[in-house]
Amino acid sequence: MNRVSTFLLLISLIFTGCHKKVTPVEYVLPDTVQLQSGDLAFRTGISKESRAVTTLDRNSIYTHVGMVVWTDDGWRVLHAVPNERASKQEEDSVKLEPIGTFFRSDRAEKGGIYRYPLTPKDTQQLREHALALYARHPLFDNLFDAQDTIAFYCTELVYFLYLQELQIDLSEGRRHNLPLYPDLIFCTDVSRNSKLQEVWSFH
Amino acid sequence: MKKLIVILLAVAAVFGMTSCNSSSPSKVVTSYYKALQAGDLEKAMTYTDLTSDEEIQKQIEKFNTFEIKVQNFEVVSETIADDGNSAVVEVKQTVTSAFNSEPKEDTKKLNLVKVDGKWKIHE
Repeated sequence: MNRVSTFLLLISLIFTGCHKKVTPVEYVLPDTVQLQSGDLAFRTGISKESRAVTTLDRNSIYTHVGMVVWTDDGWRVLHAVPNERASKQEEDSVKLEPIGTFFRSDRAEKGGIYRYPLTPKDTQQLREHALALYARHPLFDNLFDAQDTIAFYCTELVYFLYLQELQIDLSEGRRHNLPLYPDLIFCTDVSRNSKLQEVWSFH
Repeated sequence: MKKLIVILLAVAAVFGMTSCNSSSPSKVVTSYYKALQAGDLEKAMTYTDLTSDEEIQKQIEKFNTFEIKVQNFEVVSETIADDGNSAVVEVKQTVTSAFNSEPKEDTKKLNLVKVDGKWKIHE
């Protein structure tokens, strides 16, 4: 009987283990973090494109970036991301997500909020522009063409908002070259901006 | 005798033209893309102006790390500068990589320069 019980217990443990799914956990930002529109939210993902970026660019701490915006529903991150569609029928597009979702456990293993010194008028301008841009529902820029303003990839989006609204070049002219691609603005090209100050981070 | 000279000159001209064609900017770009399509990155690099082993390996690492692969390509146009030392070749390309969930179709302009009399893709 003991043997049978042990066998059944083992079998049930094996099957429970096989079917166990890890539920992604929404990140809870500490109350002490005071956000403002225009803050940059960086994260390092666990996707293969994130791995590729960190493999090639050893100086890169982060691999994805979005912009923090105050909305009627609370703080959100405006960001352009590939391969995070709810269904295959949808197209990759610019998203406006809660902070906790942006830093969700299955999407971020490192993250941080960084601030460019801005006036209240600047932050208001950025916020309005970001929300107006989101209302157009632009697509993710699969061509990675920073010259167009129809579709955006992650760094292109924050670069575009700051440049067009405030004439600030977050990348300070830095670019990365990949074969068969146009010159790209990598996360590190933005995060290396000397004026950015860390508000909060987790590793 | 005159006929023979004319024939020899004609043959030489044909050979000369053929040799020019085989090393035209478009031909070099076509060979480069064919090598990429075949996954022969070392060979593809011979069509570029990269010379040091370090530069070549770095470029190959970029292809491998980002899983950049050529699905299809077609040379669209070729423009050679007046001085004959540089050229631009426009290529319609379909590329897959770690960045794209779907193949990326776009047009890429490649700059070429003459190195020791041979066209090379400028990287």
